[in-house]
Amino acid sequence: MFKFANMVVVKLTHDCNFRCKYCYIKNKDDFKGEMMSFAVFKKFIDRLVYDKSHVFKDERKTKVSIVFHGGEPLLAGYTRLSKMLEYAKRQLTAHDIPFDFGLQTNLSLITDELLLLMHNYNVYIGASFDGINKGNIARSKISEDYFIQQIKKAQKYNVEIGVLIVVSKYNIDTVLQTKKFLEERVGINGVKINYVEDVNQAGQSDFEVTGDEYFSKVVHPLLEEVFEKGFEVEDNISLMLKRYFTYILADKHGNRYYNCSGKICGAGLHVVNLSPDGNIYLCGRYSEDYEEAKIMSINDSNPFSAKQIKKYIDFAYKKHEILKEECDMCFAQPICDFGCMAFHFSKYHKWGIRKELVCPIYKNTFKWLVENEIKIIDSFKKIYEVPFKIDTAYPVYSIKDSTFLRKIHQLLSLTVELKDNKQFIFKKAN
Amino acid sequence: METCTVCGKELHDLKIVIRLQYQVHRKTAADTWEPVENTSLSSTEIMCKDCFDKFVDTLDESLSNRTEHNV
Repeated sequence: MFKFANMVVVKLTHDCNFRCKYCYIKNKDDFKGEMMSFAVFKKFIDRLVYDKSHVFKDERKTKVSIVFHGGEPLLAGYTRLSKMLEYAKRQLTAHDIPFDFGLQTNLSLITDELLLLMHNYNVYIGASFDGINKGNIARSKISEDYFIQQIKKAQKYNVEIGVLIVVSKYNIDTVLQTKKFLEERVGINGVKINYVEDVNQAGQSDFEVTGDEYFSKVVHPLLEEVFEKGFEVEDNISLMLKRYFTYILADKHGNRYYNCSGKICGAGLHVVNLSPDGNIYLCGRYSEDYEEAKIMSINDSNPFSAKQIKKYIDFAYKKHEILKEECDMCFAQPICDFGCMAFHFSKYHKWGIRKELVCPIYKNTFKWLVENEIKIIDSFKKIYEVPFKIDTAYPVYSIKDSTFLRKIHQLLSLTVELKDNKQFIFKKAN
Repeated sequence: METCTVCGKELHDLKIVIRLQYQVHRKTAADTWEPVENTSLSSTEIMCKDCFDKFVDTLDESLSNRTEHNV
């Protein structure tokens, strides 16, 4: 059940102290007071330990991230959270299973006591904030000053913290300003930007942005920053760049493992969601505990992981039909994330992808990368100095004999080599 | 003491290690077979003799039509 997992989203509750306009968890009022019991959490850890301990030497034994999620996970309170963290840490350490902890929160319930706990257990906090200058209005009524005060408090305890900005009509004009503000004035390094998918309304909702709008107002300006900032510009941009350069430089690549993104994402295998009642779902992005997304209960047996893999193949088959229709012949495949089936299912109650959102973003980005590939490499020479390296993001076995390679050799006097199937090293020729 | 991963019984004199390897491929719109990323998976069970016998009987019973077809 958790043998292949590198991330388990532990949804402690569907309840939350906020009612953000576009939150993908539906009917929160029905879950008032809901909370995962320690017994369910203990069963999960015991099962995780068993599964990871019975991984044989040529099977993958990767680090597992345990991410406390909700709703608002801090509704669990200090006592319950500390008991869960302590049990998980003790068991995983005793069985030599690599792990880390994360927690996604709106920060409103954070206290000094909780921050000390996060510090002691090395919990990475993902905080949700959509923007300064009223950009956060759809997210919650939390003020800019209050959010920054909470972040500063976390920084005082040396808790690692990243911020997720979700782009909607409300903040699309201020998102880049917010990103700059968080990086320069608040000292946040990990700012990630996603576009909103409103699951509460079928079709384009009032506050969703279009793919073209998102590209022109968010992605394109960030791409222009790549010349100065390199890969550090933003997580999603960085991933697209790495995919693009892997595509133009690499001849072959091995089997890739994804959580999100990928032609068929890793939901149900590499990432799974544990709900408060002990049922396991494909991932944490479904707005309700849909039967279609359910894998099994934490108490079920799963010999040869067969039931779980069957569920994954059923899911993959749905995506396969969509890919065949929409994506297989598309030029932007090398960088695309191929859309989120969970959000689409939550919005329309049927399997699909939001191609009106996804396609303009990735097609426009791909065209921009083709036009600017040499300029990017040239700018990287200044940012990273020669030799510089590009992490390939997935295993690669050989370098292409390509026009692009000849071009960078002639124009920039750079040669490229592959190191450990993991990164490309760029060196001065001769 | 090592135990059977199916029934939990302690293993004394015999253990049978069975590994299933899963690989899924899809036929693309370009009519080529493409491996489904994420699906180079294997899963192993270590069985006692009783569970192994049951496993073989179950396979035999449920896949016997296929065998006849192949023959």
